[in-house]
Amino acid sequence: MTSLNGLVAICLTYVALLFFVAFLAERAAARGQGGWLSAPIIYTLSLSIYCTAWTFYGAVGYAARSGMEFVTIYLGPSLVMIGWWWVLRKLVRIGRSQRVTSIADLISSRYGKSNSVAIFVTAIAVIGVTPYIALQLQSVTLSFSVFAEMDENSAPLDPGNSAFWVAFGLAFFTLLFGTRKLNTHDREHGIVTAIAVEAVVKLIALLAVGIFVVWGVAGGLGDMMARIDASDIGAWQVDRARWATLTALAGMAFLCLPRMFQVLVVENDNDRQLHMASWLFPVYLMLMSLFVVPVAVMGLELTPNANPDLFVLTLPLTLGQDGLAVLAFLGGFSSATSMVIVASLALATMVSNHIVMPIWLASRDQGATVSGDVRNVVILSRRLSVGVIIALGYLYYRYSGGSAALAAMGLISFAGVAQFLPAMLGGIFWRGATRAGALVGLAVGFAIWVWTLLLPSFGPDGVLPKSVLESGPWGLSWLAPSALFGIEGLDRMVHAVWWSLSLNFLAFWVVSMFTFPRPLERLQGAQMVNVFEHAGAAQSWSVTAAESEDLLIMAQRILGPQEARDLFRSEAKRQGLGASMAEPTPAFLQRIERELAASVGAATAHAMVSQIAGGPGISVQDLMAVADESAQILEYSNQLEVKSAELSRTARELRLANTKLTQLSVQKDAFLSQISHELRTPMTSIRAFSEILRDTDVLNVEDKTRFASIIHDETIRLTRLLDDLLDLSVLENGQVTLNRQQGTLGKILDRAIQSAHPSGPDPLTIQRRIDLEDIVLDTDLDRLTQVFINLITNARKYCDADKPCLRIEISSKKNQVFIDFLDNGAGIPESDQAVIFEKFSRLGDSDGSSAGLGLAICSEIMERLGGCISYLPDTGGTGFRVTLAKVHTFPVQ
Amino acid sequence: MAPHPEPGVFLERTSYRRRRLVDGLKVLPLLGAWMFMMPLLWSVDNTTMSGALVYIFIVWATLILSAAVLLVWLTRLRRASATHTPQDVL
Repeated sequence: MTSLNGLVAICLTYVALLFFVAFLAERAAARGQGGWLSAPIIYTLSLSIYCTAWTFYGAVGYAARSGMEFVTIYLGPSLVMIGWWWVLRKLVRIGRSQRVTSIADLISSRYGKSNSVAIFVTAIAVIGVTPYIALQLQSVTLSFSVFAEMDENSAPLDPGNSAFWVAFGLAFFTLLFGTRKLNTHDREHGIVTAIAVEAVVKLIALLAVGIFVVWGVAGGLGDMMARIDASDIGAWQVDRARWATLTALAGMAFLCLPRMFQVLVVENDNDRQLHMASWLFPVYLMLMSLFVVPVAVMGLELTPNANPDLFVLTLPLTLGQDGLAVLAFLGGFSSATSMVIVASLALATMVSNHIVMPIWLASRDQGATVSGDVRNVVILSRRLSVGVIIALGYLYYRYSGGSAALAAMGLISFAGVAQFLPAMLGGIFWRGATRAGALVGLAVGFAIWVWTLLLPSFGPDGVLPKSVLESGPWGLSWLAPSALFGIEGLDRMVHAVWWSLSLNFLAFWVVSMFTFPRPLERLQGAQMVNVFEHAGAAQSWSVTAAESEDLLIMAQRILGPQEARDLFRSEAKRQGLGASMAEPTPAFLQRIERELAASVGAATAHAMVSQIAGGPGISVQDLMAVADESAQILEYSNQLEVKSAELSRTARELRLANTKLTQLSVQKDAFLSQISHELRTPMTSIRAFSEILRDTDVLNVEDKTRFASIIHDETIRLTRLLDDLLDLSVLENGQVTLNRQQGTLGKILDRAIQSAHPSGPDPLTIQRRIDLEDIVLDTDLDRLTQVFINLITNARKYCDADKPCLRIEISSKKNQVFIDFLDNGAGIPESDQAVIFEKFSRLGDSDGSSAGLGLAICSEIMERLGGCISYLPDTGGTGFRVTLAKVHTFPVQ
Repeated sequence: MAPHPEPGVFLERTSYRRRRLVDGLKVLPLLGAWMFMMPLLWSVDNTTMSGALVYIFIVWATLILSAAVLLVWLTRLRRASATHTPQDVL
């Protein structure tokens, strides 16, 4: 019979072995030989912390009490692992890309890096998990006491005392190997390896006991089956609601338990690990539960009065298999210790990152820019948190009396942490989830869990008076903890899980529907929901008021001087800056924040960076760029913008056209009234004189001739006017056909001067430069002559000098010929210069011999000929310039 | 598999198969849940504990085996086509 002292010695040897293994692993990793440490098999084994002492010992007890129901605790996680494609694949990808440090960090990070969410989640986790740690202490203590009872030589064990030493030892081990590194993504190799060893030990222990029971005690499989059917639990009795609820609950808790999140998500390095674990971990669970029923049945048969929870130990001891019993003890011990180590580490990270560090940072007025290494502060706070959490577990164990209340704690704890599920799953699958929704959902679920499960678990008159438990507070029976809304008869567990989770989901959904997320929340939501589409991180920093030096100082405090300098150097290289300081670009800020987040959590890291960068400036573009729906909106708005630009352009064109039309209409009216006036004047005189001729009998020949010639003149004038109008209209409509010919300028001028020559003596002298006139023009010569005639006639008609003189000057520049007609008259006043080319503009023409169409016609002609005519001011008289394109520069031979 | 398959046909068939395998992976947990809920329908009188035990463990093992086979198959397909397509389904 192994004595208690012997057991303690074995136990210490085992622990020393674990220390040694952890030490070896740390050394291998330090030497760079630790590649095997991230092998998928190690990852899979580290998941085995799901199987705590509660499941190691408790499953048999559970089976002895309620038959097959124990298996649901394993079925749920098996289904979750086998269905890894649905949730875990996304979860580990987010965990890696966002450098998540804990479940609280994930949820807070999703909801805009909100520290209030993180604190809330952390608080629920601590409340839910601390009793679970107490349960582990209890199981180790109980297993010690089993040996103590069998050992006649030893005094009865003081459970409180032994629990204290167990807690102390666990805290010591955790602190020694679990809090060496700040960055939670740098795996704690010592711990991970020790846990993998423990995983193997507990599996072998349980299998050994099972094999011994089936083939050593019973007569093999067939006999075992017969014994099972003949036993107390041989009848198939299953509470259907509990079966379904517990399977689902175990699956949910598997994702939400802080320690499971730690090993599943935070410590995940690559997808390969998950791939192997997806089938190998269910194998592990299956093997762990394979012999539970046989052991329970044998225990009931051989030691009916013993505590079923300890059958795994008492059965070998009763049958004199000391070695097997010690192995079983080590299995249970392993289960308890690995769970406590990881759970306390995971909780400590949460407490330290989300509660201690923000308070510590806030208590320092200097803010984040002050120099000095705070890594020690973070590690110290994490170590203190580990100590406090294990101490809380111990205290809970001492003061809860370590009894039946504690045994039920496993499932109660499951239900508590399962409250994270709506916020977590909603956050990673639904972009519409908001911080307010998550907070309200968590609060509702947590409150119902406390009311219906946690408080009643202390028993009648434990915390709640018996009357309240039975008929609700203040006689409100619909609030009774076991029958919410008056629905009675449900199993307590089913009742609590159903109401807490469904109302949690409902509240989360409804509040999310009717609240609006902040920009950072939307950004993070898009990042997480579309984690497979967005490989990189979105920029949540756009404008920076940050100085590189401040950033370096801050990064040094968390990452360490060497690491921070390395980070800055690599960033400078990436920015192409060589040896100089990296620029605080938004991308760099993002990178720093991510590095910090791996150590102190997203919320704290974000707060620290924003102290320096002056708050995140998420631009609308950033949001839109990452968001699918926003991208669509962006596209629509772009299209709208294009359309609206098009519309405004069209409107502008229409407006212009309208103005033009209005102007044309005004011009047309003016033209019509002008023309009727022009036509009316000669008509009036023609009518008057023809009436005189008709009605007056006595008219001498002289008068008759005079009147007839007036009529004749007026008719000629009318004809000329109509000719001009016709000409102008033809020119304006572009119907004119040009009769292109070649001729020299001199010849054209000769013809024009000849045509314009009056029949009488000519007072106007014309000065020409014949030598310059040998320029060949290719144009409609008749039309050009018409323009020249018009200009010469005008000069003759309007030049008011004593000795009127017209100079015709020729000059050329590049391909253009300028023919200037300059007289020595009074010139045209500046105010009139603008209108001389308009129709019917007559200046100082009092005799009405001109219709004022000449220059308008000239202007139209020149336009048709590809040239122009303009008024030349400041020539000491009236000057017109005719500009034409020339074809040949050489004189005609 | 042909020694020198045409890249087009090869790729097409591979990615198709890969998608179906992923479908299988997705359905497996639902199938498992359905099978595990089956005992709720059994009558108390006609069921023995040993029978239930055997049923549960057979379903469990089959489920694990299927998951492993699908995954191994998927990984092989992925490796086989990794040289042809940059897209990573896994």
